Amino acid sequence: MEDFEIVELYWNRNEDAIIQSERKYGRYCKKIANNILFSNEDSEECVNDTWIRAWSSIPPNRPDNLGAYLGKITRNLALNMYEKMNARKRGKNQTRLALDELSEVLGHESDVQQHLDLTALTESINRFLRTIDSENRKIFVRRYWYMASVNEIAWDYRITVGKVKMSLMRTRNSLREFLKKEGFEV
Amino acid sequence: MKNTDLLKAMTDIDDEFIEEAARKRTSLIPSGFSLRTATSLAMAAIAIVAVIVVRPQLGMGRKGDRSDDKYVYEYHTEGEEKEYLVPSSVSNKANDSLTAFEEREGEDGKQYFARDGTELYTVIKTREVQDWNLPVFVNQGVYDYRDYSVHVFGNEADKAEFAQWERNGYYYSITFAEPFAVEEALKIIAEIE
Repeated sequence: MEDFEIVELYWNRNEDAIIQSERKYGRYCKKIANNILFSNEDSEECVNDTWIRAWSSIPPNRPDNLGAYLGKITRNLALNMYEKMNARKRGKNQTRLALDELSEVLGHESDVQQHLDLTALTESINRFLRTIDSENRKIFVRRYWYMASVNEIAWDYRITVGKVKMSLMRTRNSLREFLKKEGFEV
Repeated sequence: MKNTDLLKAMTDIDDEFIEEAARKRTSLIPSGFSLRTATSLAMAAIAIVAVIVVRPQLGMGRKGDRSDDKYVYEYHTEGEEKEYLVPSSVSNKANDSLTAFEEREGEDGKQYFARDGTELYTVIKTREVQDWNLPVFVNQGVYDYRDYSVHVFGNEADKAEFAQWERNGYYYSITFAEPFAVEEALKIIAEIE
């Protein structure tokens, strides 16, 4: 079923919308959640919550790209769950590793809680992503949006692990400089 | 700023970037191959006929002599005809491998694999992505099958010479001795599962 047809089901308050969403994007959302949470049970909970969020947000929203829309909901839910569970959860899952890597961009976390406008930060990241070439951008987004492992990225793009790591390191450094110029404290 | 802020801010990046990264395979798909759907591949798998009756079970066969740096193949006889031999799984410290040969019919009417027959393919199973010593090909296609994808490579349109896929934490590489029709190659790969 095409995305616009599924969205139409949501708008018509037809519960098939959830069935069709799950059929088409269930695996995709599960993968996103699992990369962050590293837990089958928690990922399933996130994905189930994704359908509920979608149901309550469409309408009024009418996403052009349903996959990205649902993926964002899942990612958001998974990150929130990750934060809540982080105190008692240990281990080197992809989220922990990604956070470790991103700490290079931020230097060290400030003790003083800086009021941060996440929307402004997102806009800066969007601007930054437009400045880099497609290959490095895809690697960056696969790593820090999809939370794919370095090995997985190397496999998907048919490049070496070393090349992925090098690309990520350069992009993180560029992002750091870019955010500084944009006035963020990093 | 906390590093989780950066991850959270990433969530709402433009859809085009998310979509671009999700199309991880399309940029690699050349004009030489046409994509098949999972359904057609599944149907092809069901339609496997007796032309190639190779049911390798990597890692499950008897082990040959071990070697640190090369694969050692072990053969055992099938029936009384000594010249007809079936290759079985081989292993070294980290990987499993298997070479399959063209099937031949013995004088007794039974199907055997001939030691001197044409080599069809070799499969290697590894824990890590095989990014060493990879041959270079003109074409690459990606075929979704069940919950995994098979990356097929070749130098002629719709012919496979090499393929890789990941399954249950293992990476499989198959090298075809001669360019193989993609359809047939996929049938073999479906059997290897």
